[in-house]
Amino acid sequence: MSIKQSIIFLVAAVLVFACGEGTVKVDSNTFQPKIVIQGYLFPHQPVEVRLMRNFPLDATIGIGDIILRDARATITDEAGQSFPMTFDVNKQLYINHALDVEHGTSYTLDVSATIDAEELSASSTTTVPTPGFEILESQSRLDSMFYRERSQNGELQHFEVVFNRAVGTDFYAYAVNGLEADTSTFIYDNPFESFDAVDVLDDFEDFKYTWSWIQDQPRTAGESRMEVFWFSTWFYGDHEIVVYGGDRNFRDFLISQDQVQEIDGNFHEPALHIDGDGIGVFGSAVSDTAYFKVLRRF
Amino acid sequence: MRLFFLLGAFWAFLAYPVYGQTGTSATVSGFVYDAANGEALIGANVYLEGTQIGASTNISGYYVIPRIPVGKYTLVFHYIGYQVIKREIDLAVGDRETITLSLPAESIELQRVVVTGDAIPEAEKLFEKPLSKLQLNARQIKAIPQVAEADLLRSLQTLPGILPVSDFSSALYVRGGTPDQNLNLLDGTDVYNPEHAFGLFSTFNTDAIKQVELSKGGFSAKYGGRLSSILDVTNLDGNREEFEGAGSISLLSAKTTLQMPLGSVGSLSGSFRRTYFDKTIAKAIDDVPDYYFYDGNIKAFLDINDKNKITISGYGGEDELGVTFNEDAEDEAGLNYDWGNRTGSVRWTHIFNPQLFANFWVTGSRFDSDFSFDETIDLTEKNFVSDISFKGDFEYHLSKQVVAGFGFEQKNLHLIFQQKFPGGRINVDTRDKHYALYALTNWRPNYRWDIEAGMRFNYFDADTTFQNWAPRFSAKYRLSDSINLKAAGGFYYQYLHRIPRAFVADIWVASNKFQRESSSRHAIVGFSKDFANEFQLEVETFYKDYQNIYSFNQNVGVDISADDFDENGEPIYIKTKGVFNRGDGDTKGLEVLLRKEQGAITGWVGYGLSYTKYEVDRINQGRRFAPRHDRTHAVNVVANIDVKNLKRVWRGERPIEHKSNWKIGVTFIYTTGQAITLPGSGYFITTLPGRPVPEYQLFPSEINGFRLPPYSRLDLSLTWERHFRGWSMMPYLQVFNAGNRKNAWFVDYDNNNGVSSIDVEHMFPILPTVGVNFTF
Repeated sequence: MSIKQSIIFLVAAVLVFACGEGTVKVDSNTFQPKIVIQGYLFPHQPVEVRLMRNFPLDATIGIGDIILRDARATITDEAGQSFPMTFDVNKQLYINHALDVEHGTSYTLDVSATIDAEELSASSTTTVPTPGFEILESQSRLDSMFYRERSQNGELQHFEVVFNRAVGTDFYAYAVNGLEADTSTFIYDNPFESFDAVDVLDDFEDFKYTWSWIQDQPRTAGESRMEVFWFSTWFYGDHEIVVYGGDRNFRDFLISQDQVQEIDGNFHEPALHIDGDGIGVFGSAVSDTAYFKVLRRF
Repeated sequence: MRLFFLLGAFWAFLAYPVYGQTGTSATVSGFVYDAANGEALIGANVYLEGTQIGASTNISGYYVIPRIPVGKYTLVFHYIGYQVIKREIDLAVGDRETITLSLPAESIELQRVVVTGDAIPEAEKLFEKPLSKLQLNARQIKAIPQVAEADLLRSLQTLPGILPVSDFSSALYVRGGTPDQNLNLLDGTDVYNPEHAFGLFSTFNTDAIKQVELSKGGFSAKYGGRLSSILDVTNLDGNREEFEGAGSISLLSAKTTLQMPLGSVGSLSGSFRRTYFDKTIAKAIDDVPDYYFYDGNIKAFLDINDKNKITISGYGGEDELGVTFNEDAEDEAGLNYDWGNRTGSVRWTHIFNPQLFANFWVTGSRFDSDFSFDETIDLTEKNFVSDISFKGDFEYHLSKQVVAGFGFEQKNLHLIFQQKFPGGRINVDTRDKHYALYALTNWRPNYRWDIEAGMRFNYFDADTTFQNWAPRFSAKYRLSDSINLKAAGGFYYQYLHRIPRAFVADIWVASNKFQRESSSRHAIVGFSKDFANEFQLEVETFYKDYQNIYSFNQNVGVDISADDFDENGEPIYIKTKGVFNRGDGDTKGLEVLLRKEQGAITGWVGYGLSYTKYEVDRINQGRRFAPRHDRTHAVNVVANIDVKNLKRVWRGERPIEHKSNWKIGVTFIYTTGQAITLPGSGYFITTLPGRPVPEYQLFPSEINGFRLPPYSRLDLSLTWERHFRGWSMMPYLQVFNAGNRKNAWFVDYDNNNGVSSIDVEHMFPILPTVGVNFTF
């Protein structure tokens, strides 16, 4: 090959590589079946656990297709007593109403199922928070407030919830649920972004149901407080706020499960406390509920 | 300790023959400067004609040829691109001749003659160059097309073994190491976050740069504190002969550099640069935030007398970013983030006697950043690094064969990271001290060999202490006049760790009870060959391992715990326990660099083959994986074409200088695609017990077990140079990613009503820019 031919070949090669687009092919090669566990224990509440499966990214799937209906599930308490779970067809949940969940007690869930012809099993242990947790409504600021209301000196005001801690529990989360949420009550003039009704409907559940948390609170008895920020409410009208005191499983799942994609797009593993072939959460919590109202200016 | 003893014995052995020569010899020493502007010439060759006796100038332009047998000689001064000057000398017993002179620049016509005639050939330069060291000057950096303007860090990314992680970062990943493992020195001062935002600009203003050296590994005992590389940037001292200026204006920035003599005692140089995104693009496009930065350098050189020189250098820069979320809202909200570096140094160069040369430094480096939301949320952040250092480097020329080096360094570090967020605050505030001593011996027993052995001792004092001995070794062997074999290796320690954050400044944390010192071992073997003074080929193969390297724990929220509580019972975090994941790793590779530095076409072709694997606690079930920046193959082609002289060369004529000329710059990069973690599956689950509708979530597959498509990019530049009497202008057009290749950055996923969708996010598209450079 002459020098001239070599140069032409080199330039052609550079131009070929410098143009176009590489194909990103995501297929099912990386798929590994898992048992998805969604289970929360509350003291003296009925025990209900949803068992599902995961699915390949290129699959088109409905929520009804992923429920596991013939899995084997058992909850065992600290004393070693086992409570087999049975599948409730109406609720699409595994239940055992004989199990009375006690404060401060550990429970272990063992699950096994056959998914895509693979025999899978998973196990997780949760410890239920101790008693004493409650919202202190008299000390909270939860009545009503205009959206982004300001004090006389111009400071932005927030709803605030004050509660008594459960001894030994250092993690608390709140969930705000817009009780009058629809496109007519949406707060369109907000400082974050301009939305229209279509945008609201596209992400309706995310606007309607918001949450936040505080962690590493003192494990001793006493009061803690959480601000309910103006950007936690996207609708005018009545809102329900549920405050949870959660155990380690509850905390780590909530903190890490939807933060698996980093800012540069890469993924990392969430912190899930499930051994074996399971993902999801088997946690426990105590909870209390209060209400507040976001007023509209006319 | 045993190693230090062995080194001492080696040193004594080398020094032994020296004393036999005492009393029968003479010494010649001095400085070599550029006649045009008085700048010290680094790496100029000074030798006795007809002998193999000679020396190179150091970073101050100083040379010394000790213990020359008495007699008459012709002393030759040579530096590529400058006229060769000869001086006749007659040395008597005990003479200590000081010969300082200035070399005039050579015209382009004669450069061809020089390199093929009466000069040190390129092969000699190749032999002198330490293994794994790269050198660039401002001219070479400016010739490489970039996004907006010439940039040092992005230029270095076109050399084998040095990679970026994406178009949006100019951080250097050297031989599998991460950017925190690079020591960035600006006039001898550490620079901790050497990037402005979004990776388009680094803190090094190319107009102010005199010389850049990057050591990719196997560096000598003189340097320490980092595992992977040393980037040593020396700014212009200033023109000692006349007032001189340079400037440029582009679509994104304007800058100027001015130099002037300070009477007869020295010189002064200063640079200033400001971007104007905020005044242009941000006004036109809603989604572009208000962002700008400015920075400036100033440097004074004082030539006190033949034995004392003082250099005072300073740098300051500030980045300002303001974001308003929804400008249409009646009640606006947003965030503000500003950050910047300040560095300063005073260097005293002192010649105790012709054989003992020393540099003493006092340096200060400070980085700080402040972040806040305006009312949106009670979140503020302050990040602060302060480093006050004292250091001294001594060079003792024991004989023609033996040069001993020794020195010290003492660093006083103050690192603060404070964050106030709803429900708690972080207040990590540490003051740490780093002490280092080093000694090395360079021995050239004959024409063929050049051997250096050294030892560095580190003592790091934090909430616990670390002591480490770091032996270093290098050897060069001249197989023939044009072929060299080289080897280098050593132990390296690092006491600072970084929390990287995309687009904004990193957070630095010192080693402590929870994060030990990091360490690495390098082993490098190389081969270099000069082809008839036209092409220089360098081939290197290396192995490098890492112990205790720390990466940010992405699940930091679940692993940290409160160290204290404030009066409201809110947690305070003052330790770094749980912030990092510890890991080990290694990199092995092969690099090939073919350079052509003279003629109508200059540039290089580089190829890098490398395999990097990390093993990080609690990540990927403890299995090894390739980090995100790992690239198996990387090809770089950089060509700078002098159009008129190319035509002349094509016609068989010699290149000449033209009053006006066209220059074309071409850069082509091809690399293996990035390692990336992709989700292995999707699932539905409710985030909290009360949420009525489950959410779509992703569960990752094997960590970085997937590769994005190969990255490739072609950048072009076209510059018209026009030289007038006393000034020149160089308007240019640069096209970044001229092929508009859609290089994948990452993959985004969504699921609507059970139907998954995948979007590939891309890096920079084609980006043309225009500007003009001028000098006067």
